[in-house]
Amino acid sequence: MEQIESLLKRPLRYDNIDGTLELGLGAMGMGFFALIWMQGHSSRNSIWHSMWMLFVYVGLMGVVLYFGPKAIKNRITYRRTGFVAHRKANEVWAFVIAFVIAAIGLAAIPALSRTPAGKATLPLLVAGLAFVGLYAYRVAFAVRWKWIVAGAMVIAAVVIAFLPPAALASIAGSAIPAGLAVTAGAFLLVSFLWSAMWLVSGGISLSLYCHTTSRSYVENE
Amino acid sequence: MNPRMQTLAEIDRMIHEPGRLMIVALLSAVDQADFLYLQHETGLNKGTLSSHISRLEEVDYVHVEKTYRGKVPLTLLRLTKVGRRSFERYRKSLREVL
Repeated sequence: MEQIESLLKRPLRYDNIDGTLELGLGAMGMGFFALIWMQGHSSRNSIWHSMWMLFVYVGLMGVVLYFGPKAIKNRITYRRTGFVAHRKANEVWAFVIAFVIAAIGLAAIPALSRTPAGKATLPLLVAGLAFVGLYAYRVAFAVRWKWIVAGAMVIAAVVIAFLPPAALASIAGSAIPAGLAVTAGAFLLVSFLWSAMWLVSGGISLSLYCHTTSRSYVENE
Repeated sequence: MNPRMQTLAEIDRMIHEPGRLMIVALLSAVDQADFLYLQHETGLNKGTLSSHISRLEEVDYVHVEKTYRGKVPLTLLRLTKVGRRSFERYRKSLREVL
């Protein structure tokens, strides 16, 4: 029975067999990092604070995240180890979960701005650890060495949560409102470190995948 | 007859065969997959996999669509409603027996 349950989870884990899930996450995280960093370290009148820059950014990230992994899958993965289309119901649930998480995150911003500086990073730490749990479920359970990445993510999150508030506020930059500076600084650091880890880990996965599989099947059947 | 034995006796033998069980279980978790993916995940050779798929197609558990990706032939497979219902029944029966 356990073997059947394990088979049922394999298509979901097949998503990251080539590292595209992590490469996508890494690109998204680095994009967020770059945008918030530029907002924090530029004057409030600069283009980085304008609404249309946000639209351009979201559009650009959408294009990269949609077409990037798709190109890798079409040119490499599907030709080597096959094509899988996931069930629509699963995709809808993934979208709903992402929407709920984003809504909770946005709703938490006013509360975070009122949190004393010394405790401002704790909600972020809890959310971060929950995300590590998701990463472990989707990625690390399928590939054992990814537990190193999950462990590094936990260490980075915990260390950042206990950094001095003044240091985190200085990372966020002077243009971020004072009440959010500590949280924004912690978010920036976590985004940068985790994204770098995902990009490296995804890159290693893609490289290993290309080395261990060959395009030996010219015809599909 | 003992009810558990009765359940065991009525288990779907079309799905119970290990090769076909792998195919049906993998297809039940996706919308559709190609032949190459099933070959990669099950470790079965082309002939054996093809034969199992033909059996499953005969009883209308699997729908096979022959198409092309560019100039390369592509065989897409998906579980039919009958196949999905049968697999759910099979899992339920197995849980009762074990």
